[in-house]
Amino acid sequence: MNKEQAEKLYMERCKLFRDTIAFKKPARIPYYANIWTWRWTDAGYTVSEVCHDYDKVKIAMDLFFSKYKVDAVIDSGVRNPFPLVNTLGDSWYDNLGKESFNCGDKYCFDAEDLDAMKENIVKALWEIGQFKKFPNAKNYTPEQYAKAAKSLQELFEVRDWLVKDLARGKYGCYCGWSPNVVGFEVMYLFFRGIKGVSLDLRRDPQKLKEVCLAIDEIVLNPVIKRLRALPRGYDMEKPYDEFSLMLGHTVLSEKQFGEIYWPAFKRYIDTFAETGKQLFVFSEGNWIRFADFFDEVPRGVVALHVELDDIYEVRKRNKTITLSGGLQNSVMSRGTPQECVEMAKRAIDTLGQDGGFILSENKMCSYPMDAKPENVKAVAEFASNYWL
Amino acid sequence: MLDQEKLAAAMGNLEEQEVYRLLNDVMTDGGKEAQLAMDALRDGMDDVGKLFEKGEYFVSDLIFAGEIMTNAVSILQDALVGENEGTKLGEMLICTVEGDLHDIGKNIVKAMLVAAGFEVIDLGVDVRPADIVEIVKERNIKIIALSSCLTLAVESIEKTIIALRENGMRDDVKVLIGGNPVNEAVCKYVGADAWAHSPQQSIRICQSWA
Repeated sequence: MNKEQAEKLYMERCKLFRDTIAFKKPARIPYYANIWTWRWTDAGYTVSEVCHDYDKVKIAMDLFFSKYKVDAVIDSGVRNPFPLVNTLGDSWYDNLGKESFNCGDKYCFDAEDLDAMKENIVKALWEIGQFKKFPNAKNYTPEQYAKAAKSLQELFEVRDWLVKDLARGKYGCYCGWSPNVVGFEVMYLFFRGIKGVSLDLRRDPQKLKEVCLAIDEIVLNPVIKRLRALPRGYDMEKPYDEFSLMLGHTVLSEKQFGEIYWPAFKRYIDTFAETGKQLFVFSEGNWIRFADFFDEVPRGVVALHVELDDIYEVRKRNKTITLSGGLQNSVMSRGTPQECVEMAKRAIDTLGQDGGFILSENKMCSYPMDAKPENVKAVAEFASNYWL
Repeated sequence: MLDQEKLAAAMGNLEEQEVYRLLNDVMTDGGKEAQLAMDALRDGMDDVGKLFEKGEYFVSDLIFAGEIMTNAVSILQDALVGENEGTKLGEMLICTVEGDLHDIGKNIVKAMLVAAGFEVIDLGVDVRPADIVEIVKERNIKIIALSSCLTLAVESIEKTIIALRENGMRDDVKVLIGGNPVNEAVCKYVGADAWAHSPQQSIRICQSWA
């Protein structure tokens, strides 16, 4: 495939996403591979090797696209960039092994920091957060910071090469994710962690709410402002306009969700409806508990990844949101290629005949056992030839 | 004198400071009522489980309940040493399997199992099959709860069950698996006895085996 052919294919693939999210019958249903570090071991590398070497990241990604005809892949390939993490000498990863690694919980703030966070979140990050996340930060030299900045720049360059030159330029494929999330997600993922927010929700819910609003001010509001400043309608060079995560809802009751999560998330989603744009929401856990809230979302604006719920039940419950999923990891990992193709066909036939569906693995494929290579190949081949 | 109903209600309503105040009173009195306090906490945790099932509480509330329960046991600890009264359902083992460091789900289930009357041996996280087999053999454990969060852990669960089989112990031990990657299909192919996503369901299954 030459560059022109790759670009043509890329634009066609973006249109598949745009049409299906808009509930317009697409030419075929796109396969959005939920495949992450699985690529590394599939390329014959150990996790340890790839984590420390961007050249191997590039080779593994190239090999993946050459072997599997996916339309898009969620991960851009630079997750867990150890060269950057190690620059300051404060890595908290351990058990770095052949197929996996782990890292202990390490968050930026404790409960007693909530007042400072509420007051000025940026100041709190510089004066408190960075020292809790990076215990040696007080001793960093200007040279170390400069080295870290250089390493960050290098990471961006690698990411851009993977996204633009390799995925789009060579294979006509979309990859990459730069999530914009609500304040509660930031607290849940980075600042306080699962246990921290759970305790805050009971011990000081009002303060937690105020901190989430302060985070929205610097994280979400600029995105909303930017979206409103853009011309109305889609950017056809992307499969959707923005990517968001919905993970923190997994610890919340519906009541808590309605109080602390939904107001900001609704404001964010409303912006897409107002500006004629589309949002992809990568959601984990069960979503159907919160279906009532999403009844307000207009048709054709949001695509939602479905992890643990039965996607067919979700479809029955909600008719306005495009659903992404349908490939059960338990079948991708243990089934035959024929069984996987049948699973994909059933999903497309049942959920995608008039758009509103994206084919994807329900769980992130991270480890070798998460999917058999022949199954990924069979599903990709099938999806790329199954015209509606 | 301890008001058991008051303590159970405080635990069930997740009134953290009230629970600690009542327990500290028990210890100020010499801890003679520590076991009665444990029974009341158990009733309170039972209410927490019921509210979870009704959808009034969710995961964050269970994490909070687990935190209160852990602190409560630590307040009563000195007085509970040597106590053998109350509802004892026997020893069982819980851990997160090899390759997985996630412990929040495990800790919630553990807190509720302790409250339900099990003596829970918690091996922690990232536990090798050989270590599980060794403890099961040494303590003659009959119930094992294996926790997981990563899909990678399914393989470790399977390896643990194979190790139990290879050591001739599989028929004597009941294995419950829990966490995000497990479901009916996984339960079948790894050869576990039962699976659960909810803590309350986990407790019920273990109680039925005790």
